Amino acid sequence: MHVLVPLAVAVPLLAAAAIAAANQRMRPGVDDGVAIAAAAATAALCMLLVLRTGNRPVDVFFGGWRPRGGVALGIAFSVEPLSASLAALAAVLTAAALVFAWRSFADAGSLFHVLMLVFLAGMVAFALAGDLFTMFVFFELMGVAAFALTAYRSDSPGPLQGALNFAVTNSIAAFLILTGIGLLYGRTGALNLAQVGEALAHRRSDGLVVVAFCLLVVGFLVKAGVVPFHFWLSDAYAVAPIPVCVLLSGAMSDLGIHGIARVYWDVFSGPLAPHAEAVRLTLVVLGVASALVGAAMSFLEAGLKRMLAFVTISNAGVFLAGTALLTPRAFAGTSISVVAQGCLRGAIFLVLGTVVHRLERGDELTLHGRARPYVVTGAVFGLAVLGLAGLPPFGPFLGSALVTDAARRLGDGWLPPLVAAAVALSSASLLRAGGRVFLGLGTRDDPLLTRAQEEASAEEPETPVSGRPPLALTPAGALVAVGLALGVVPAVATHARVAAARFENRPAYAAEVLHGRKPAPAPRLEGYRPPAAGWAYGATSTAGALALAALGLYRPRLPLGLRRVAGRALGPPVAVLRTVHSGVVGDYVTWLAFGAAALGGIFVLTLR
Amino acid sequence: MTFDYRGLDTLGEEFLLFAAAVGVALLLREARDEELGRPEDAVDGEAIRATGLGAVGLTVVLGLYVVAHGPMTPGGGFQGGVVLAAAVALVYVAGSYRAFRRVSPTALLDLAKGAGAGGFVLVAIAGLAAGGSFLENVLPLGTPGTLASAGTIPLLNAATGLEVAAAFTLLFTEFVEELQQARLEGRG
Amino acid sequence: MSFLPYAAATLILLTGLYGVVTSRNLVHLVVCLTVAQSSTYVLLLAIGYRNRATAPIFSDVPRGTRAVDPVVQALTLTDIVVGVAVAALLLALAIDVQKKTGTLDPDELRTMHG
Repeated sequence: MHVLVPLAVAVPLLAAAAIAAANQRMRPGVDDGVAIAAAAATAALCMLLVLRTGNRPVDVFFGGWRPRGGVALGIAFSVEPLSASLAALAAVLTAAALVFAWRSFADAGSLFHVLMLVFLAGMVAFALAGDLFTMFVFFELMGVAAFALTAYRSDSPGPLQGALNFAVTNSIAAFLILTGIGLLYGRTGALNLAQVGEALAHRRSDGLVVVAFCLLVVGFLVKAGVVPFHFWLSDAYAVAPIPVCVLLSGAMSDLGIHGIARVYWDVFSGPLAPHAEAVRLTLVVLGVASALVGAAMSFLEAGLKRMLAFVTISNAGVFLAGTALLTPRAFAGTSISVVAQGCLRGAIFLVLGTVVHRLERGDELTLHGRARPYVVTGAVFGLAVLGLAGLPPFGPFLGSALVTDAARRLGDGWLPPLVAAAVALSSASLLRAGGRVFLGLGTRDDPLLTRAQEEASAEEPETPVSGRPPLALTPAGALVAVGLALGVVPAVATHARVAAARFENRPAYAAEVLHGRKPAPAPRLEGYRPPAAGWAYGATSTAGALALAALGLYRPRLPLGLRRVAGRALGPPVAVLRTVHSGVVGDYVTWLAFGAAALGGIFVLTLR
Repeated sequence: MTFDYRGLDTLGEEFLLFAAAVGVALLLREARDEELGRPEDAVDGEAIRATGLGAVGLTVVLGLYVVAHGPMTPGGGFQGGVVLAAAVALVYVAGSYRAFRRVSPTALLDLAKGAGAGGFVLVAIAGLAAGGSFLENVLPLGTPGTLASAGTIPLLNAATGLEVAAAFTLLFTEFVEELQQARLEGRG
Repeated sequence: MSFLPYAAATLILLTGLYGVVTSRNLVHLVVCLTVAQSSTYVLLLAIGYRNRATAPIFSDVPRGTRAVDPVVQALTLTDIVVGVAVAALLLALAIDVQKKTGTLDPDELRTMHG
């Protein structure tokens, strides 16, 4: 087991180095093959890690520097099922994306594959890391590879704008994280998560700890794309090539939330324990706000990739809210949702990629009815979206049922309805798009929706047209199957809950990492049956999604009076939302600074 | 220390530079007309050329020195690699574009970069293969203060130096090529 | 005296961020971003510094001599490499923008909105 963990990072890196060294001297197809093999191998390794660390988490110390006397000098990777499942998700999505891109991106030599593999290595290492600085280094590695990949097909100003916004905001986020890490190092003299947590646990929280917490949280929130740090996300996803979007949407945002969870539980849960309520409330509210804004913006969008970007933002908000409830049940639910929805969103991007590649347009209204011949593709799309909407008993439903359960036990009964509303709205936009594109339903035009930018550059194909259409359906279908199946396999919920309980137990974690103490054996939990409320919310969000989609499809045909009233009520907020998403990088950085200051202010006031 | 107990961070850092060089190549290479011709862009003034080209040799030696003495004095793979790259850049700055391209062919740079990055990972895996952990030392430690001491650290330093030198030279090359193309198109 | 480096770091960060926000030229923006990043270098080195301590190399001084913290120096080194990598990519993006649109003004790149 100790051998497999570093290999999960080393394999993609070695493959990337090899492909780069032999650049342009390989026959076409060899680089695809090597890359896909490396990604698949990493996926297999990570899945093995998920299965084998359920009972006994693994801590690997690099260079043989095991801790002595409770002091850990070496870099540690703490591998347990939840983080390993994120790494596995990243690897599976990379493999799927590379299969899709098979021979579609041959014109840049093999550099595309090199960057995808480096991106994968960064994600795996970030997910598994148990050391603050290592998290930072691989956060940046992910970022650099992602910026370059986003700007990849740079033959119009579009991708450059998105990549620029992405690069600038994420770099600033990285400096903030590094500043937070520096402050923690200054206070505790350690970089290992467990050791820092131990050192902070036996003291009250003071200004420095709060500031460090704020900086780290803001940095990770930018990566996750939570309001008001999300602006870069919609621009970047809208312009990045489809294989890159699969990865960005399916795995990268979730890693931001994972970072917050890791850092909170392993480092700050000690000193901030008396103030847990305040942390919970602040972050849950932020999550819900993000979920609703994201959902609203996705409904107002006709450009398919940008719509999916907003759906991702909305989902990230839901994940933040779930994680911020700070209980094992909620975290287990969120983790299941993350993996399930990651698979489903990845599948949706792949399906979109096929449609856009064949029809050379990426806008819902322009594509009206044109994908009617693609029945199987449409079916896969429909299943994926219904899964996202929370259709029982599939993966995302199980996740939200657990979160709903946890929220109600905490007395936060107001949370599930809001989350259900956000999920319904964001899924509705996808259903509406699907209805228009695959079934030809709905009106041909809707002035309310923002059109995709490509209309300006008329004959711009979305992907370089190669002779062979990309092989999307098999990976997409497989991803949908996994995403849905997660809700149906009974062991998933139990294992997730056990792993979440372990994740949130800081003293046991510290003892295990620093002193090698074996963790207590897992308690026997009986199979989880979602309570009635969970089923109710799942059914409601699905039904709501269908209803709102129908509304969206036929909105211009509603009676004029009704539309006028709605317009007067909803007009100003919509206009504000639209103006705010301006596309100018200076604005985004201002929002970042403002958001950081506001969050910092709230934390300083409530966490002392 | 950068290469031993925080060695994994150094691996990440090295690949970061690798990714940046690959990214820049990805962005700039494909958009450029490969048939650039051989523009005559040379420095006038014999004095500059003589001094500059003399300095190249010295800089290369300095770079190699810094890389090799990583474990013992301030320096190491990163710093040494940058100095080596600067030596190559000097050929352009104090010499001519053609000479610069002759000493920095793209294929060689790609190979060096990949080899350096891959080499680091392989040395790290060697530790794994020898029954220890990733990045663990598998070579004899030698006497402190001499060149062949500190186990695998000189190897890691060398790999890093190679990769950093190649990556920086590649970056510089890409930007210089852009400059040449701009001049060719009259954008100056 | 001891809070001076931290104040300096904050000032540099804010200056850099202000520059990024109000920039009208992409190259200027990249440089401001680098300035903002250098605030982290100052902060990290300030954390590791000790008065009247020497470099952390023990080949010619006896063990136990007061030395500054080497871990922080390694962090700063990594930070610098990160900064270079990002700056290189952003500058390449800037070159591309110039070629495609003829302008380097971020405000004029308003192809994304709402």
